[in-house]
Amino acid sequence: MRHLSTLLLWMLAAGPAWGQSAPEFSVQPPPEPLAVKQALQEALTLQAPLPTSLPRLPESPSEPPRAVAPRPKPTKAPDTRLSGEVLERAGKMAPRVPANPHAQRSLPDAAAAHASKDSQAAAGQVQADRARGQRPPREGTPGASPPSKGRLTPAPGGPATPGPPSSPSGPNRP
Amino acid sequence: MKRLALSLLLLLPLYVRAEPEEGVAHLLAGASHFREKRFAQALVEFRVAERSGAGGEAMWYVAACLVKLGRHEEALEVFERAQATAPEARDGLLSYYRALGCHEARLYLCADALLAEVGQAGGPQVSAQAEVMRAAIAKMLAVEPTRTAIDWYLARAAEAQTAGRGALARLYRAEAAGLAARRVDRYREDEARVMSAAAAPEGGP
Repeated sequence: MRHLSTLLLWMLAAGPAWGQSAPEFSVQPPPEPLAVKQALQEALTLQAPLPTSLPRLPESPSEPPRAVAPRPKPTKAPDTRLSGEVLERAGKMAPRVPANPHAQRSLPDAAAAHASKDSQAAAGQVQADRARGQRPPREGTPGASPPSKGRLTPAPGGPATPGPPSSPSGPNRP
Repeated sequence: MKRLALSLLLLLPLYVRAEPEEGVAHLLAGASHFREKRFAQALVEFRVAERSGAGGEAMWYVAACLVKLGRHEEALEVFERAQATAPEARDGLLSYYRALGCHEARLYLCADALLAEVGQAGGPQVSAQAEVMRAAIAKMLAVEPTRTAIDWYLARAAEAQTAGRGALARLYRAEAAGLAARRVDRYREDEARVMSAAAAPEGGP
């Protein structure tokens, strides 16, 4: 230990010259400034966009500045438009629960209670729609609820009944 | 043991001193991220570069990242600082990004002035885009600006000033003044010019 300390002290005493020459951490040579500038310009040129919209002066004093409220990027509509693939998958998955009502009984209590809550909410929505004179949306039409929810909608307290939205041969089907 | 610890403590600064090329390395890393559309990561690299020796030059690229991230007002403020710190690093391409920031913040006169500087300096693609933008702005400005529009810019300027964003306030006021000058009645032009001149920095657009 004493030798090590002595060695370190000797290295210290060698002064800044040692400090500058001894550590060789940077193996790669530093990049040329011109190469850096070129890399930056290439990147900026590649990503140089046109503005997102045409110029338009504000027409109302309460219009928010675009910088504060940037235009959101278009995203996929969640479930309102079901693609053919989704419908096909729903058709494959839907008969599983109505065909085997015992499977619902084997759900854990918490999950069953959650599913029951969903069912009650869905029933409430249907009643509200009826009160407004609207028919509940059918599966595959815009506004229909996702088919997967129909699979987990047992009647509260009773045996599982086929959920109307998910069952292709359900009572709401013509 | 104490001597050893002391020795190590004394030696440590020799090893961990900042490499002069560190800023350049971060600039390169930022360029790579920017190229691959990872603008948030590029922003981090450019900010580190700014603190690691690349200084004002990196600030221009920080602002360009902010433009790409949709933080236009913030970008304009950084562009203003970069102009004050490292005016020599400005080029046609960076002017184009600055013009984009102005455009998206609805500072169309500011954008137009910057786009006029781009010319061929930004390369053929960028200069073509600049021409497209200028044509659209010219078309919009062919109609006399409404009083509502001028009020809007002055209100934005007042908001920015209240928020302590003086550079941004100046840009909005300058825009209001420029638009007012395009009206026959010069609506609120003097008001905008007086306020704008009160805090004008050097080297602005």
